[in-house]
Amino acid sequence: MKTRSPYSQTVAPLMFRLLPVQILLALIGCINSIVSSLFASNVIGSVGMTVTGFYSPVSTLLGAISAMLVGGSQILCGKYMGKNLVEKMQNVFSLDLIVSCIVGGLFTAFFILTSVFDLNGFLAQDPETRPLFNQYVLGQAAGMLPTVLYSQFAAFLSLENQARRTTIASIIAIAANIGLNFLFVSGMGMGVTGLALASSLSAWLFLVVEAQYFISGKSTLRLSFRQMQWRESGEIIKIGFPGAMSTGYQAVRAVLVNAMLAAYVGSVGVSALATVNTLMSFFWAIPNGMLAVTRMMFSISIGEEDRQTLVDTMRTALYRYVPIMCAVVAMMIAAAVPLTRLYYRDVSDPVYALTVTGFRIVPLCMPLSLIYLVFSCFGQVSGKQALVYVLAALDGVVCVAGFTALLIPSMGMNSVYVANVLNGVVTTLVILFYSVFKRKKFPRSTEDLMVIPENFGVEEKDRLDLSLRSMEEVVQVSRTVQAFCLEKGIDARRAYLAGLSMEEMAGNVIAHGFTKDKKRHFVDIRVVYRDNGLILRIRDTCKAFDPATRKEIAEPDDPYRNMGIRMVYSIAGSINYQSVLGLNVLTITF
Amino acid sequence: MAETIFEKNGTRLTVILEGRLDTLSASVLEKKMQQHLDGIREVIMDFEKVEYLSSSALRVLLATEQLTKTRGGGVKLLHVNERIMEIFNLVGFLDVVEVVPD
Repeated sequence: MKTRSPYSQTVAPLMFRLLPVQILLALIGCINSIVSSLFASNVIGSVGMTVTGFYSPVSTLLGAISAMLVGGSQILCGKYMGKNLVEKMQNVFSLDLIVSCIVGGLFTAFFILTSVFDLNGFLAQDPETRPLFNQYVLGQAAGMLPTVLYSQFAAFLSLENQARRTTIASIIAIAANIGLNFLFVSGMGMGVTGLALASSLSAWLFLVVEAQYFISGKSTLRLSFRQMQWRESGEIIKIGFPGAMSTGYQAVRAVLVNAMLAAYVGSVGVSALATVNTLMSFFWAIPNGMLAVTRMMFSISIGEEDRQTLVDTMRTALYRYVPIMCAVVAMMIAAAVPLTRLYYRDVSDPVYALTVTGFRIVPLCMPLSLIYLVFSCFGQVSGKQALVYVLAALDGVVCVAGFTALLIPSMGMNSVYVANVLNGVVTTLVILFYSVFKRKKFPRSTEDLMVIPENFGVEEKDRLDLSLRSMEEVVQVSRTVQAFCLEKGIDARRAYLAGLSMEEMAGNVIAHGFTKDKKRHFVDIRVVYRDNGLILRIRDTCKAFDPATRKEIAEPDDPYRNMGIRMVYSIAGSINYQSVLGLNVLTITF
Repeated sequence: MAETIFEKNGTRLTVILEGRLDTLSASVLEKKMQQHLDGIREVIMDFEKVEYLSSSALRVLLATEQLTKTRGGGVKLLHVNERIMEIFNLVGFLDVVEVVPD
């Protein structure tokens, strides 16, 4: 057993260890849109890209609503999972699926109507492109319902510890998308209709592969209409809304920018921007992966009021992740021509030059956007709502649309590209000004910039940090925890139960987690004393806890199996288990 | 765990326990019990000096109870303190072993 000092030493290595998986997960999501765009530009031509460009606000909006439902239901379901409230979990699962079906159904009906009756002028302002756009939207409408649903299933599969199935479903969907595009677009010459149908059918396939698990009867979560608590759907939306707000703004931004481009530059401008945005979505997987890791670290340290980890997480994001992003950006700019040639071969085509310029300017916004994303995330978890709302509005729509409107008469197409970079500059300045405004002086450190309240965090004397490697150390930890409690004036009974809980739970991690694979794992333990209460936290990198085991604990077939864990469930004030980004976090309170 | 005293009297075994019965000491106790249980039908365990007990130790008690039961006997626990009694209660252990009141 080691007493962990400087806690900060674990933060940066942990954030780098978690990063590759998160980037990979973010990548899978954008490969399908890149496949579609390559067929659009190479087989159909720039008009194909124009149509997909005009459609981008719809897919962004659908993505925002999906993200809201995913975020809300996952958090709510995770909360109930931690409390072993199986019926509540089923309720959230069922409600989320019903609301998703309603949203998907409404979107489908709406866009079938607007396409059949040529009412899509609010999205595709160019009258020449609109008939093709209507065909494309009609094809996409067939895939709107599965698109909303498969995002929900992906979130629930990860709660069920079945994220691998989502990866398999993604790979199958990508392969199907490529195959169907070859068949419909290249082989049968179906044009934009084929392009949209390929994407819709692969979305259905994605959904079917995922849904199989829930139909098979193996899942803990099952669709149930009994004792449905409809008011929880409001809770799902309320929790999920802030996360989806920024994406929602981006949908509005896309409509505005497309309209300005159509008016000042023409459809070629919409094509070039769609090309740059589509391929950049591949590279956005890097900052999005970085953000996912940072968010996890922030939320854990906020929950524990761990000031040091909060600051170290921000430092790692700013001084390690941002330089990596700068290097990626330099490579993207250097590869502007080859990237453009993936889509357009004809150098004399105006869209070619516009796209090359886009790849040379727009990537510059990425390091600044990462700073915005990280601070916005910190704002969300630390309750700086005003900062979050202002940044979301600025980044989502105000800056890009505003600077484009200001510059487009003089700069034409380049205005959109420059606006993206200026957006990053403005959001970074807002973060700086927020600190100056709140602290009344210029920030001199990361901590100053973060504006963490003075009284935030547990004093060193009121916490115990330990790390474990073996069962021998578990026994020692139990004694240490008991002694710490007694030293803090906690009564002997609670001190005993705290030590016992630590032995049972940490022992379980060592006994089962360390032997399930050949990887090297760590178990970090933190005990916090506050207001005569105790918080025990066990954090480990072992395989995620199987929810089926959780059910077995709550309703055991053999009353003497998992006796230790059930004992802790009986004696603790509360127990919360979370599996986030490959880390198991168990929090027990007394 | 401090030293455990085993006193054998025919088919009866008296075990005087002491200190902490945690995961590691429970494993030691299990091995020692196996050495002394040959031909034993009744086990009396004295908990007077036991300060701590984890689920690993409960499993040892349970295994002993099951073995002696097949021989027509059982396990009796003496001098169980309030804190350990609470643990027995939580896991429903009092339905399985007999705790002799002080």
